[in-house]
Amino acid sequence: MPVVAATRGDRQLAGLWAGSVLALIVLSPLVSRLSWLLPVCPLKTFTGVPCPTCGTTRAAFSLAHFDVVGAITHYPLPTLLWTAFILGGLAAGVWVGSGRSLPSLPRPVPMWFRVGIVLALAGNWLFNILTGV
Amino acid sequence: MTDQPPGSPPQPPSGPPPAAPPPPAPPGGAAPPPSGGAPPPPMSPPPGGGGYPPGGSPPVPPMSGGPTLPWDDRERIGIPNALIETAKLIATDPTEAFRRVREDGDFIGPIIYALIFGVAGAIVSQLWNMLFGNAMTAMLGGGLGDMMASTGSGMFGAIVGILAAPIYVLIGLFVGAGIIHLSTMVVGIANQSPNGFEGTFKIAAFVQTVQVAVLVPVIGPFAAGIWAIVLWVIGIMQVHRADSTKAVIAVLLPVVLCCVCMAIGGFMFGAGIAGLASQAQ
Repeated sequence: MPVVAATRGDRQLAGLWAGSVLALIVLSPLVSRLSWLLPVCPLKTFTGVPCPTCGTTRAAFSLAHFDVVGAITHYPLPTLLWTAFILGGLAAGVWVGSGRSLPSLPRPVPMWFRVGIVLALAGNWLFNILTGV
Repeated sequence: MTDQPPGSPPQPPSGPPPAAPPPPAPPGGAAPPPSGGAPPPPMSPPPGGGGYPPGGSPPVPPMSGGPTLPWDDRERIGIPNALIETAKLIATDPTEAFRRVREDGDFIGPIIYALIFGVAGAIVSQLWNMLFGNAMTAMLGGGLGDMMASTGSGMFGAIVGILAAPIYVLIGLFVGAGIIHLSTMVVGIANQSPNGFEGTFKIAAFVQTVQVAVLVPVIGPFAAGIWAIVLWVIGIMQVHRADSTKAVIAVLLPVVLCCVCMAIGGFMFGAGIAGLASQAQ
C-alpha cells in the first residue's frame, strides 16, 4: 500500500493535537490548583442530578494523579475518552512526524458508530445517576 | 455521473464518454464525496494571490470560486485590518462569512484569530469579575451565586486566569471542535459534507468573535453564549452544506447533553433578574 505524504494540514492538525496533549501533561501537576478556573456543572448544582458528561473533569484530575484505576472505576466513559484523546494526540504526532498522512474518517459514517455514540452517552448518564457521580 | 462544478458547460450527448480517471483524493484531507454528491469546495488562492485594500471590494481570487475571509488575506492587508474586517463580516453577515471559509490545510491562521479574541475576552472577563464579581454573587445568590463564587475572583485569580487563557482557548478550541464534529457525524451531516474536521475547526475558531460581547458587563457572557450557538448553526449550514434542522440539532446536541444545564442556568438567571425587578418595585 503506497504511503501518502503528510500535507501541511496534516502537520498542523497533528501538531495542534499533540501540543494540546503535551500542554495537558505539563499542566497536570497544577491541575488541582487551577480547578477553580473551571465552572461547576449547573445541572448538578441546581438539581442534584448529574448531567450525561459529569465526571469528565474529575476523570482528568484522577488521570493527572495517575489514579487510572480510580478514574476508570468512577468515570468510565470520560476516562476512555481522555485516554483516546491523549494516545491519539501522541500517535498523530509520531505518525505525521514520520512523514505519513493522517488517515481520513470513513464516509459515510457507519450507522453502528452513530448509534454507539448515543448509547454510550445515554449509558454513561444512567451510570452517573445510579452511582451519584 | 461525474462531478461537475456549477456553471460548467454540459457534456456533449453524442458518443461514448471517455473513461476519465477518478479525481485524486486530497491527501490527508477529507474523503471525496460519493459519486453524484456535491462537488468539493474550491481551494483558497495561493498566498499573495488575492486580497484587497482596506475599504475596497473583495476581488475574485484566481483559483477560487469566491472571495475568502479577510483574515486569510492578513499578510496583504495587515493583521489589525484583517481582524477587524473579519469580525465585522462575522457580526453583520455570518452567512457570507462562513461561506468564505475554505479547507486549505491552514490551522495556524484560525488559531491565531481565536487566541486574539479568546485571550482578549478572558482579560475583559477577569476585569469585570474583579469589579462586579462580588456584587453579582451576592445579587444572584443560591446556586448561580455559588457557581460564580466558585470561579474565583481577586487580583491573583485574575492574573492566573489571564495567564492560563491561551492554553484554555487552545485546548477548548480543539476539544470543542471535536465534540461538535462528532455531533455532526451522529446527526449525519458529515456524510454529505464536502468538508471535514478542518471546516468544523475553523467554525470554532471564528466563533470566538463572540468574545466582543464580553465587553458588556454582566449580561455580556450570556449574550456571547447565545450568539455563539447562532454562529455555530450558521457555520455548520454553510461549511458542511447542512440544512437548518440538522445544523440546529448538531449544535444543540452537545449543549443539551453537557448542559441541559445551560438552559437551567439561563432560567435561573432570568428568575434572579425578575426577582430583583420585583424587589425594586
